[in-house]
Amino acid sequence: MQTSAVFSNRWLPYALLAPQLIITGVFFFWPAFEAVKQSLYMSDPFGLSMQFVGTENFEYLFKDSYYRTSFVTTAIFSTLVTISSLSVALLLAVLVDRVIKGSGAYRSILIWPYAIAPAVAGVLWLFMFNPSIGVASYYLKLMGYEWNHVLNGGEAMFLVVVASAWKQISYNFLFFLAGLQSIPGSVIEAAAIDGAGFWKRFRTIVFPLLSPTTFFLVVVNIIYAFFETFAVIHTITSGGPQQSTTILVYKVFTDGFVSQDLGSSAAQSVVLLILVGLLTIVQFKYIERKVHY
Amino acid sequence: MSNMVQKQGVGIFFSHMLILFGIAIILFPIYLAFIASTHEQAALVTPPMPLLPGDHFWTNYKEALGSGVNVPVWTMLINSMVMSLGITIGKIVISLLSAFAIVYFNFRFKMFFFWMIFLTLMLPVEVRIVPTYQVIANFGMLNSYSGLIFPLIASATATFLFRQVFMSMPNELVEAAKVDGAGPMKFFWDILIPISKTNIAALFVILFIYGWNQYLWPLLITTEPEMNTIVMGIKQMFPSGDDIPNWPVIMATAILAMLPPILVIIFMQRLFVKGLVDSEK
Amino acid sequence: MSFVTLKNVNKQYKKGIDVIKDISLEIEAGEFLVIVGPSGCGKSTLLRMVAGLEQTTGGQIFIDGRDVTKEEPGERDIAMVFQNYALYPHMTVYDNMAYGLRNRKIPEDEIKRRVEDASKSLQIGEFLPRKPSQLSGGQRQRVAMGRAIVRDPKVFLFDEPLSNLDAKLRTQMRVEIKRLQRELGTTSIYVTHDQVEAMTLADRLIVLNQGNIDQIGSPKALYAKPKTVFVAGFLGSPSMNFIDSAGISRFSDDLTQRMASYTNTNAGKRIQIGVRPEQLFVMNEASEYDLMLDAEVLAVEDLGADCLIYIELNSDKSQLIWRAVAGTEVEIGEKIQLAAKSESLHLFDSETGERIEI
Repeated sequence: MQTSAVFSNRWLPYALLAPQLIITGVFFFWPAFEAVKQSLYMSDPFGLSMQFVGTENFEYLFKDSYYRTSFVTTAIFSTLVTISSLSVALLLAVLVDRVIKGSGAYRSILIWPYAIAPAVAGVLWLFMFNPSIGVASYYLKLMGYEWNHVLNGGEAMFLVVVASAWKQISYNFLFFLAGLQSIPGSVIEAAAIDGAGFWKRFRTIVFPLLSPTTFFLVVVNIIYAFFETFAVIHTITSGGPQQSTTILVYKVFTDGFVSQDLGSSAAQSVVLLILVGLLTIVQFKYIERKVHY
Repeated sequence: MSNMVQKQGVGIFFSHMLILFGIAIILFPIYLAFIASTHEQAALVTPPMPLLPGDHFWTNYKEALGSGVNVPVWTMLINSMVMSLGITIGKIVISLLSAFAIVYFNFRFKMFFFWMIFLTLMLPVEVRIVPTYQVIANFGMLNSYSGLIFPLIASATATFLFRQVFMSMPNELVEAAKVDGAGPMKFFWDILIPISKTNIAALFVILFIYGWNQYLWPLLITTEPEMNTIVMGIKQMFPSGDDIPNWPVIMATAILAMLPPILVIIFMQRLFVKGLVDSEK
Repeated sequence: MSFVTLKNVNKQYKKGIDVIKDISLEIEAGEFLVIVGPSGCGKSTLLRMVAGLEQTTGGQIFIDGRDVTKEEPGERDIAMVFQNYALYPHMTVYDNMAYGLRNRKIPEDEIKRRVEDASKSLQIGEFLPRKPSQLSGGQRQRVAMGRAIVRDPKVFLFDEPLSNLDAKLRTQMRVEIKRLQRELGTTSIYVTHDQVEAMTLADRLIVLNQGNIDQIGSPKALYAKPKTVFVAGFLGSPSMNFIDSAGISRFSDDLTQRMASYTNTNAGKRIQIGVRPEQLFVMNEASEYDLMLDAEVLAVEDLGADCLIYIELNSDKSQLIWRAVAGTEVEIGEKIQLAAKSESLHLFDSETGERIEI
C-alpha cells in the first residue's frame, strides 16, 4: 500500500488487532506450543506427573508398528479418496461444461454434498451399507456377496473412501467447472480446426491447461483426507476393524482421549503439524506463482 | 470451453443422460435417508427397505424434534445454530478489524503480526485437540457455547482473505475519503465494508457451513447430551452394544442436520460459488 | 503572503532519491496554476503534498495564511479531482457529492442546495440517483468535479483529471473546467503531462523537470521565451527543432557577429539553436534571413490545415520538422533550402541548456 493510502493513528491499529491476537494467542498459539512441549514429556499412568524425555516419544512412535501402519493406511486412504473424488468430479465438470444448457441447474444440485457434514455423510453411507438392513448390502447378498465391513478391513476402507470422496465431489466439481470455463474458446476452436476430436482435444489441450486447478485440488483433497475425514471414520468404523481404517488424525484422538497417552498423542500432533505445514507451504507457494501469471 | 465447437445431437443427449445418472447416484444416499425418515422402524429393519416415501413423516419428525434418542433434536438444532452463527459472526468481525489494521496502517511489529497470523493458516483444529482441550478445561469452558466457538475462530484464514480483498481496492478511494474528511473508522464503516459486501456474504456461507458441520471438537468438549450439536449428536444416537438403532429418528435427524446448510447454499448460491473460487486465488 | 505558499519544500524517498528538490512557490488567490512535466518529474508528488496525501521531507506549506504542513487532508479545506475519479462505487451520485459535506456536519438542506446547484452547472442533474457504474467516463469525471465544487474549498487540486478520457471529450472538458474556475474564482492547482492542456488552462504555468522548477510564467511567456532547452522542447507541438551551430549552412553577418562575440567572451562554449517548425520558410533570393539550412525532404504528412515536412540536414544529417502552409508541394528526396529570422531563434548553451541572450 502506498503511504498516502494509510492512516497515521498510533494506537488504533493495535486496538483493532487486539481481538484477533488475544483469541489466536490463547486458543491457537498456546495450545500449539503446549502440543510441542507435551510431545517432549511422558506422563505417568495416573496423569499425576510428567517427565522430560526429549525426543523419546518420537523415537518410540516411529518404532511402533501400529503407528507405521497408520501412516500407510493414511497414505492409501488419501490417495484413494483424492483420485476417486477428482475423477468423478472432472468427468461431471467436463460433461456439464459441454452441455451448457441446464448447466446452471445441474450445478445447483451438484453443490449439495458440499453442504453436508462429513459426519452425516458417514451416517448416510453407513445406513446404506449396514450389514443387516442396508439397501446396498441386501442387493449385494442377492448377487452372492456377503457384505460386512465390521469384520472385513478392505470393505471398511472401501466404505470410508466412498463416503469421503462422495462428499468432496461438489467442491472439486465447482473448481473444475470454473477452470474449464476459463479456457479460451478460441484455443479449442483452433484445435478442432486442426482436426482433433473431443477426447483428443481433452487429452492434449484441456487437461494440460487445467493442470494448475488440478494441482491445487490435489493438495486440498489430500489435506481434506488427512483431517476432515475424522468424522466419517468415527461414524462408520471407529477406526476398525482392527485399526484397518485408523488414519493418523484418528490415532491422535484415540491415543490422546481414549488411551490417555498424552505424550504420544502430542508427538503425533507435532508430526501431523509438520506434514500439514509442508503441504500448505507447497500449496501457497504454487498459488502465489499462479497469481503472478 | 467447447461452446463454439458444434456437437451432434446424439453426443449431447448422451452427455445429459450421463450427468443425470451421475446426479442420481450422488443424490441417492440423501434420497434414501429421506425415505427412511418417513417410515416406521419395522419397515426399515426388514430388508429390502421401501424405496418410496411412507406415511410416518410427521410422527418421526415430531419424535425426533421432541424427544430424539437421548436429547430432543430441537435442542441440538439450537445448539448448532448458536455455535455456527457464533463462529461465523465472530470470525468475520474479528478478521475485518484485523485485516483493516494490517492493510491500512503502518505500525511497529506490523510484519511480525502478519506472519503470526499467516502461521495460523496451517493448523486445523484436529491437530491441536489435546492441548486446546486442556486450555478450555482450565477456563471452565467445557460443555459451553464459548468453548464450542472460540477455538474455531482462532485461525486467521478469514483475516488473510480480507487482506487480499482490501489490498485490491484502489488507493484513490482512501485518498478521496481522506480529502472528504473521513477518519479511519468512518472510512471503514462508510466505504470499506459496503464495498466488501459480496466477499463478506460469501464468507458467511462458507463459515456457516464450516461451523455447522464441525464434529471432532464438539464431540470432545460436550459432556452433557443437552449440549450436543446436531451433527455430532447423530453418532451419539447409536446405541452401544447390540441394540438396534432407532433408524427412523436417526434418519430424520440426519435430514434435519443437512437442511440448514443446504438451504443456505441454495439461497446464496451465486454468491457462494463466486466467493469460493475467488477466495482461493 | 499569497494565498498558497510553498517554502523550501522537498521530498526524499528512503534511498536518498530526491523527488522534489527545494521548491518555493507563491500562488495568488483565484489563480489557475498548472504544473506540467513528463512522467516521473514529481508533479503529482508536489500536488499530493499540498493535499496532505504525502508528507514533506522538509519545508512548509501555507494555505490562506495557515501553516498546514502537518495537517490531515481533511483539515486543509482543499478538494481534489483524481485521475481515476475515485468515486465511491456503492453510493449514488448524490451521496458521493454529499459525503464530504456530511462529514463536516453541514445541514442536509444546505447540502441539497449545493448539490443541486453544482449538478446544474455540470449538467449531471439527471444522474443524481444513479451509481457510478452506470455512468460513462466523461460523466463520472463531472461527478468528481461536482464533489469538489460542493465543498466550496479554499483550493481545487486537479491530478491529471482528463488523462483517461478520449480526445474529443478532453477538449470539451478542458473548456468546461476553465469556465467553471473563472465562475467560481477558486484558487486551482492543476497537474498534467499534456502541454496542450497546460497552455490553454493556465494563468501561470510551471514546467517541472526532475523535481526542479525550470520556469514559471504565463503560457505565452514560456512559449515565446523558454528559459531552458527542456522548456523549449516541452511546449509546442510538434516540438522545437534543435540544431547545433555547426549544422547550419549559412548565417547572416549580424548573427555571426553576435555569436562570435559571445563565444569570444565565453571560451569553450558551444551554442545550440532552437527554431520552431512553424518559423521556418522556404528560401528565395529576396528573403531576409538570419540563418539558412540546406536539407533533403524525408517524408511529408499532409494534415489538411497544414503540412508537416520531415527534412534531413545535408551538413550533419540531423532531422528536423518544418510546418508548412497547407498545400505545399514537395517531393521526397527533393533538395530544399529553408531559412529563419533572428527573432524566431532561441539560443541555448549547449552544455547547460540555459537560454542565451545575445
